[in-house]
Amino acid sequence: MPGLVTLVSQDNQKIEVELNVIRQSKVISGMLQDLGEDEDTEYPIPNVSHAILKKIIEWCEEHKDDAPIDDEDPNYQEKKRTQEVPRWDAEFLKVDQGTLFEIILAANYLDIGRLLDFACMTVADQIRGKTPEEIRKHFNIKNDFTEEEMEQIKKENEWCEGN
Amino acid sequence: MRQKREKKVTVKDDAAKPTRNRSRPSKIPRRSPLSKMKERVSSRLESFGLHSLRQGNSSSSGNLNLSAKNEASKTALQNVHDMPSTSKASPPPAEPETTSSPTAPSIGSRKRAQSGNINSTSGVSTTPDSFRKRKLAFSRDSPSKLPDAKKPLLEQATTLSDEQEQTKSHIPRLKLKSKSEINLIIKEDNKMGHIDSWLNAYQNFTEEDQRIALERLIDNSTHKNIRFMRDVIEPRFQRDFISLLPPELALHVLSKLEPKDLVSATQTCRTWRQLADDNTIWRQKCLEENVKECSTPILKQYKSWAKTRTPEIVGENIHSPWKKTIMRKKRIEKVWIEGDVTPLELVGHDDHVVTCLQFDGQRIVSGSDDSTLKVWNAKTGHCQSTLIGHTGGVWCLEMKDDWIVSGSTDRTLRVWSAETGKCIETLYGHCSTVRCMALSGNQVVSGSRDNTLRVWDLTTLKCTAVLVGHFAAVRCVCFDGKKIVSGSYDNTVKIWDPNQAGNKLLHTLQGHTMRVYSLQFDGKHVVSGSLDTNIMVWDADTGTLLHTLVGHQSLTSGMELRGKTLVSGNADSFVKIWDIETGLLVRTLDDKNKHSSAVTSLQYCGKFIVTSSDDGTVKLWNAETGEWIRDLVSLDTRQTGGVVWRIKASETKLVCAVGSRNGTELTKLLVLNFDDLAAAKRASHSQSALPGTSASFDAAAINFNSLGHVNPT
Repeated sequence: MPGLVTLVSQDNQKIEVELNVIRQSKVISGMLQDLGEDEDTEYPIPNVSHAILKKIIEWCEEHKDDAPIDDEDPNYQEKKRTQEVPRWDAEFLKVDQGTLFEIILAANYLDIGRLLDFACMTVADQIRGKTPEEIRKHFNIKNDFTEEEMEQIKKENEWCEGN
Repeated sequence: MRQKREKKVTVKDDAAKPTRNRSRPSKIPRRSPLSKMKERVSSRLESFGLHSLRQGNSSSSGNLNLSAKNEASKTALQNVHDMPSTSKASPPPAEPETTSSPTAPSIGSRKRAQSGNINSTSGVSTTPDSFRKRKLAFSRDSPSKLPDAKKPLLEQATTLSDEQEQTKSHIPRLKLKSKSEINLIIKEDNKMGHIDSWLNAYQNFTEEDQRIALERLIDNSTHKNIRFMRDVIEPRFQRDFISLLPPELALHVLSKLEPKDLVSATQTCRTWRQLADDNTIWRQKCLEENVKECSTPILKQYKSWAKTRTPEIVGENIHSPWKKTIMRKKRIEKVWIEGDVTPLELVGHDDHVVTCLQFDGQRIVSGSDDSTLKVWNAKTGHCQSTLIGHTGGVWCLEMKDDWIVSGSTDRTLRVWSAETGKCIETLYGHCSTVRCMALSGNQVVSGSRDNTLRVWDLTTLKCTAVLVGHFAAVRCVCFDGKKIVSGSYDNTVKIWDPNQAGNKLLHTLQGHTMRVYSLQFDGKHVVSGSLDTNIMVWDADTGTLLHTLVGHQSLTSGMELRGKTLVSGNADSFVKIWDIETGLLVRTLDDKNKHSSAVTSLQYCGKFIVTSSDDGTVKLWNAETGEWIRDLVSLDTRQTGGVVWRIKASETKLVCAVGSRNGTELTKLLVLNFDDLAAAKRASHSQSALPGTSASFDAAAINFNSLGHVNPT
């Protein structure tokens, strides 16, 4: 079938995906250009596991008809700042922290800007509105400040900090 | 070495009291040889992970067995979870002596023992944190070291027997118990072996069988153990994104946060602090909040600090200058919202009306119908000079740098030096009251009741143009350096080009049916407010009417245009927000706390709108939501004639001209300073006392009875 490419994940599993779907990854589309869109060629993705690659492809499927983004456009930058994660993507990214972590790394490695952005926003949403202690609990972080440091940092970060 | 020392003590103790302190062997320094022995066993055991045996001194062996069994089953569970990650790389050897996995839980169980769950046979709660510690400790132990903990156990058993032989004559009865303990240790040791072989079997299952096995395992576990499993498993799904992601990605995540959340993030741990205090993030936050510069001295300080920057930044009381800038801004905003601010009171102009007010952040200039102007120091509240010269009431004033320009009913304009208070020049030309004025660059435009406008050059102090065309008094004027826009009692708005030769009139905007009182001009749009209650939006280039904003009931006295948003204050007591691109009303600031009388003046101030009224109050509103925040000023005489005529605000200060027409309130200026650390602290204090109630706002509203007067010089 034309327009299919085979990707090989980190754990050596093959996965077939439509060309126009996976083009959203700038890295893969660059690889396709370099290696040619030969149906027999297998494209190794050594940094992404099979499970995560499947997840990434699922996202690309959903977004294959999206208009391409222009990073240089100041309007886009402004929109990006005020934008919320769309509902589908928010549902898609409702995964455990380990998976979300892998998705961020994979989206970064494969250079899928919007997915990376949504995933980072999802993490930011998990930080938002929490006290330092709640953040620590949520992400399983050890408080490595001494008591004096805590006192100092608390003082420094009050809104009524001196000038 | 250790044994030698202990033996010595043993001899000494034996002679004294051989059977003492059986139940508390670890705490009493004087011990019987047996309890000492037991202690030694248990300390070894402890290192081996069978801490529960230590308590066995006073508990039955049955109980002991149970708890040990429980420990063992937990160990098994934990190994199941430990395995997939560790075993894949290198499968564990079959011999228990050389495998490291059974030792791993020992640290965990010691933790549990310390947290006081020693006697409980099954109720073991383990915090994720302790597992973190366990994991850390585990990874620190070198594999070659681990078997040591096991090996001496058997040796220890032999040593023990020897020692028991020595002490046999003293306490023969207790020796038995101690032996059963040793048996138990060996039994436990075998149990470990069982677990390992069980685990090996598990590992040889197919993935599907492993799942079935796990399912059955869970089905066969107690609720408490299932909860234990959850506590072990859950942290494995957690990720400390900020510490574990590459720094550029961590910063990408943090850059999505608002300042408030960044401040929480920075207090989480050291790694987070370093990233969340990143100067580029804070610079971005500043730009998002329209803060375009941070003060240079701090920047210099930061640069020199950045050169010597080490990873250890904790304790250094310097962080990002951009962060510092925004923190200050937030602090000031907080004081606007809830600070307990004591205003300066600047008394002057007797009981005359303050008709016009200007404020550049440092200097306040007030013009009055008493024919004078006064220059005040905004910081100290002292009157620097009184500008005397006009022979009629002052009705308009502009200031720029050292220039103060005033217009009066005496038909003249006067140019003053703000520094010295001296009159530089009197500008003659108008043949009636100078009612309005606009200043741009070195040019000032004046509008008069003589129906004309005049353009003056402040460097040459000459009139450069006379704009003739209105059929009635000119009431308001705007000037952006290129075009002049004038509103008149002839119901029209005119657009002029003062630099054009010959006819300077570009457009006459006709549409209002009554006098035009207020204007806004941004270079593209002209917005005019009239007594006919309508506000009209015009295209400045073509002169065409774009929108008519209908909704007010009376005269629009004050307006301010910010981007496409217009805020209008009206004599009908309402403040409305409009979108001039669509021509639609965005909202009316219609709160139960709204003004009860005509709005006299208003100003956008950052995220706030400040409005003043004939009702004797100054109100603070949220510009975005339109919510009333609080009354910044509420005159005691507000019911009996006290009014607020004019306000001018900077980011940190608010100046209000207040008085009355019936003598109940002396004419004065009130200066509120929001850049006040003490006020911010009082705010956080009062906030904790009255969290978020409207009562706290009322309490924070300024009470003028308690004010000390600042004497004008």
